[in-house]
Amino acid sequence: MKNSLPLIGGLIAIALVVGMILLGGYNRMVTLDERVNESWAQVENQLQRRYDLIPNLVETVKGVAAQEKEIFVGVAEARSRFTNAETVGEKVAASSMLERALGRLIAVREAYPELKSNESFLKLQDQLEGTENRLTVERRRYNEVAKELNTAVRRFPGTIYASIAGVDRRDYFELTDESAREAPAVDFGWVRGAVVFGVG
Amino acid sequence: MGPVGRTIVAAALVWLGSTISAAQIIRIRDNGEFVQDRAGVLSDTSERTITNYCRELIQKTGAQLKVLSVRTTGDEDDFTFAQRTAEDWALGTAEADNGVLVVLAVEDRQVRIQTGEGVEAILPDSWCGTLSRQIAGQYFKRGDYSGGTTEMAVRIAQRIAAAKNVTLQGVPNPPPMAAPAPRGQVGVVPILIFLLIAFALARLSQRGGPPGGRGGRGGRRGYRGRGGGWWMVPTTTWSSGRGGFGGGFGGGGGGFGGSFGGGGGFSGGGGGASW
Repeated sequence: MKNSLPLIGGLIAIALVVGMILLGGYNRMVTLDERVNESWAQVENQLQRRYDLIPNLVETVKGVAAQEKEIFVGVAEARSRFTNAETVGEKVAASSMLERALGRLIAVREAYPELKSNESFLKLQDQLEGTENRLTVERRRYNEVAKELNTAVRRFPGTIYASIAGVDRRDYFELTDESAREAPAVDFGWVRGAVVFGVG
Repeated sequence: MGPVGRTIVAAALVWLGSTISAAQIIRIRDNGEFVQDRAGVLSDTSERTITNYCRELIQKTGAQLKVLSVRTTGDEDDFTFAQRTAEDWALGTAEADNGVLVVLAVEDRQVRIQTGEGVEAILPDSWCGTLSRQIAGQYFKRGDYSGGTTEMAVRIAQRIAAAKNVTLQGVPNPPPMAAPAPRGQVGVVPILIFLLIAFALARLSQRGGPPGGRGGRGGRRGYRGRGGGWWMVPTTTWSSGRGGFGGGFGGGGGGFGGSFGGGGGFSGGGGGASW
């Protein structure tokens, strides 16, 4: 009896250490998952913010260029598609559609010089740009955390912790070539050309 | 064309390709000043005025405003450059995220105000855009970078101050490093302190153990009471030792003052204009 005490103690110690390691790995996975959720929420905030800006922007442009019906219809369509989007993939697709539609809306100013000196249009344009910029930042941060999570999930022994914690890989928020950052006020043909050139 | 010629042409093409594809990223470190005039377009008066307002602003509100002028933002657009630099410098405090960076890119003909997360409500994007357009049209267009940048920094500082219910006169308290007493008396205080420390150390080593609680605490408290903190010793020693250099610290405005970022976050807010 006396001799088995140290053995039992040792086993308990080992069990404790192993348990703590497992717990640490599990907790790390959960923390990462929450960080990804958090940064995705920031992305959604900005998407929502842009969405909320649209009515005012459309009204202001309509006041000067009411005949550009096609553009307004395009914006409305993209906007409703965004409302109905649920998954990350759908939201990303809808948001680049919205970005293109808004790009065309902003580009109207080239044909209507009075918009360029319209202070309320300029202010809305500032806000839209600000939102696009914040979106760029939040998208980058989201992708960074998502990459960290995806790497952790794919590596051993992270795979095990991930399956225990029910944590899965995440989609990246990637830009399609048509919705390059400078979407508003840029000729898309040129951007696509530049992207191809950069990769080649 | 022989094989040698072909190799040379190929090498030249590779070299050309590498110079074209190497994106030019310009990294500028925070040097602790409120104004960093890399483009060399700001007058001394302008730098001094901006520095005074920025210093007064941080003293009264904690908000940290800095101005950076560059010739160009390189291959990045003005937003990407300003955002990256602002993140690097981490202006403002980590708790309040109250940093603001103004970037003037002279050859790109761009100006941009980058706002920290905590001041976005005080300096909304549209306000930043409107101010940038006004200043660009009124000053930068005719090459008055000093006038425009000063006006811009002062308006930003005053708007933050107004939101925090304080007023700015452009006359800050002297920075902590420049606090030492007028020359002549300078030598006395540090010598006394030095003697005090030496005395304490001597007693401590004599006893060969930790000092009694009362003695140790009392000594520290008296020391702090001088106002400057522990760094008073090196500062005053320098200025008395270097003679003619003495006035350089703070007295001339600008100079020292130690303003580095405190971990403030930027999430892409702000506005700008081109001309």
